[in-house]
Parts: sequence; structure tokens; C-alpha cells
Amino acid sequence: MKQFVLSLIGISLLSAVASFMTYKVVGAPDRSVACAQENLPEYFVCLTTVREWPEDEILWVDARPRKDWDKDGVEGSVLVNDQEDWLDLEFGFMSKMTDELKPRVVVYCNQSGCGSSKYVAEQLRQRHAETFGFQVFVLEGGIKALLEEK
Amino acid sequence: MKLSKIFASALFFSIAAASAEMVFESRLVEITVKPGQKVVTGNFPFEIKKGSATVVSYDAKCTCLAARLEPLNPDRSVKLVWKEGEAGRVMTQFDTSQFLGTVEKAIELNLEGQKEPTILTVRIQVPELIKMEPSSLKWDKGGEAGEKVMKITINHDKPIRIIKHRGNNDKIFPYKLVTIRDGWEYEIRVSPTDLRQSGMGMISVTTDCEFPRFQRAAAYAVIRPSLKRAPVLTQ
Repeated sequence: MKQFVLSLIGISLLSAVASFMTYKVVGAPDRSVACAQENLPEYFVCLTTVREWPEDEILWVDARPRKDWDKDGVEGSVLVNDQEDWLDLEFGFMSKMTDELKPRVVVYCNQSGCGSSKYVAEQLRQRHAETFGFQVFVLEGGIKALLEEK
Repeated sequence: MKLSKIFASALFFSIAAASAEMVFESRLVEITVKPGQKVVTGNFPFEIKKGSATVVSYDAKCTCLAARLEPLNPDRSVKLVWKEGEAGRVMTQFDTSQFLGTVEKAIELNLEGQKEPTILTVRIQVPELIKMEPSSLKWDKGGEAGEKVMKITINHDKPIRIIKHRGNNDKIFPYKLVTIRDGWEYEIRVSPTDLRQSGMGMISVTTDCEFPRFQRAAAYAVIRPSLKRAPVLTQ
């Protein structure tokens, strides 16, 4: 039993040293959200694609709960989610869009596959995209993609 | 020798867990919501085809969707360990009160030993009893003024009447609500007074619909600056 424990400690130490050396040589792991634009469904967009657009042409829409938006929403974003009264939130969006007209709306929620951003994007597209002439996209990876980028 | 038996057993059980198969009849449930229906139920029946499966977590990621594994254990606790040959279901309840049109929400089910979660999707269709077309009226800044009309159509088996209406920017967007067929068809006719500045007005209507979801509706009148259209994404 003593020999077993000693062997286990030895193996653990060797593994730790090897991991440290790998980290020093290769660097930190890449935690960015993997995204290939060509593989995404219609209206979905990678953060790398969004970063190619002029920043002043984008209106960010946060589809998360209000407390999350208050905590770390994108600066200048407007809150439109599917948990609060739609008419109240829609009014906020319309006001923002009328004040500063943007050709691209990018909707994000907590992560990829989040139904809220898809729903909000579809509602904005159906109800107002033609009026204002903007396009609506869903950010692949959601807020995680933005936080990983930082 | 004893130790090697322990290792062998641990290896065997981890392999067994990794190869457990929880097979669902379908991973997508589609439901059409009736007008007065607030909560709908969707079921995902499954069977354990191979090995035993231990449910680590199941998470809806939306406060609107609740999930439950059934049947429960005899002591009414949640049954998380499922043996080969057993069958059950993931029962979901979807609060649809905030939604209109088509909505999808998903449940993530994680099994012990499985790298990727199993995704179960509930897709609901909420009919729009009150349709406003278009939902926004637009004029271009500096362009030609003129009356534009929005049609309100009732898609229900009984009439829904507009009992109140209000515009929040009557100075720039005066409007008239015209009854075409009481309870079935209306028009909102808007004639902006000044197109020199961009601006927006909201016209909200209140109805006598018995369902809270359809007791309020809103439309918009917008004077917008001309916009150079963004290039279309090629995918």
C-alpha cells in the first residue's frame, strides 16, 4: 500500500511538471468560441465577422435577463428579451433605432443555441427590419464569445 | 492483486457508464398553442437500450421552460439512475405567455460518462389573433408626406373589439382609427405633419379580448433618415 501511494505521488508530480512545461512552451489553452461562418445557419454570425463591420453600424441587442444586461451588457446595447413585456422593450428598441439608425442589429444571449436571441431576432426582423432597412443577426456563442474575446 | 481488481472494476463501470444508451423517440416536440392556453406540456419518451444511465443534470436555460423526469422513484424522489430496459419520459412545461409566433426552447440533459449533452427541443406556435400589417409605417426624412394605412385584422373565431387607443406623438403623427368591420377589421390612418426631422410615434390599442396576451397591441410610425443598405452576408 505504501509503495502504491508513493507511486501515485510520483506519477502526479511528473504529470504536473510535464503540464507546466507544455504550458510554458505552447501557451495558455485557446478558450475562444469556435466559429466557422460558412457552417452557420442563416442569420447567424461569428464574432470575427461582426468585428469586420464598422462599429458605428451595429446596434447590439441583449436578449438576456435584465440583471445580466445590467451586469455586463455590451456598452450601448439595448435590452430586448422574451421575459419582460414585449411592448415596453420594443418601444426602447424603436426609440434607439430612430435616434441612431444602424444598418445591422446583432442579438446575443448567454450562449450558442439560446432560444431567446433567436426569438428576439426573428420578431425584430419580421416587425421592423423592412421599415428601417436593417439586417438582424444572432451572435454565435452569445455573451461567452464576447467575454472570451476580452 | 486486490488493487488490480479494484482498478479493473473501476474501468469496467466507467466503460459501462460511457456506453449507456438513453434513446428518445424524438428529440423535437412541436405544439400549437390554443389562444387562451398559457402553459403547454411536451413529453419526450425514452428507453434505456444498453447499460445503465445516470442522469447528472437536466437544464432548460429558460425560466419559461420546466422539465421533470418521470416516473419518480417509489419514495417520490427523482429517478436519476435508469437500468437497461427501463422506459420513462422527460416531461416539459412551457409558459408561453410572453411569446407570439414560433418559438423554440431546449433542455440539455447530461448523462454520466457522456461528453456532449442530449438536446431536447420544444417548438411552439402561438397564433396571432390580432395582426397589424405592416407593424410599422415609414416615411423618409425630407421625403414626401402623405397618408399611410395600417390594417388590423382579427384572426379568431369570435370578434375582438378595440376599446381604447392612444398615440404618444400626436403632434407629428396624428392618426385616425377607422372601423371597417367592428370586431374583425380596422385601419389606422396616419398623416405626419413634419418630415424635416427623424422621429417615431407609437400607437397603442387596447382590446376586449378575453386573453391577456391579446389585450394590448402597438404599431409604430417612423420618419427615418435614408439608410445605405448593408451588404448581404454570403454564407
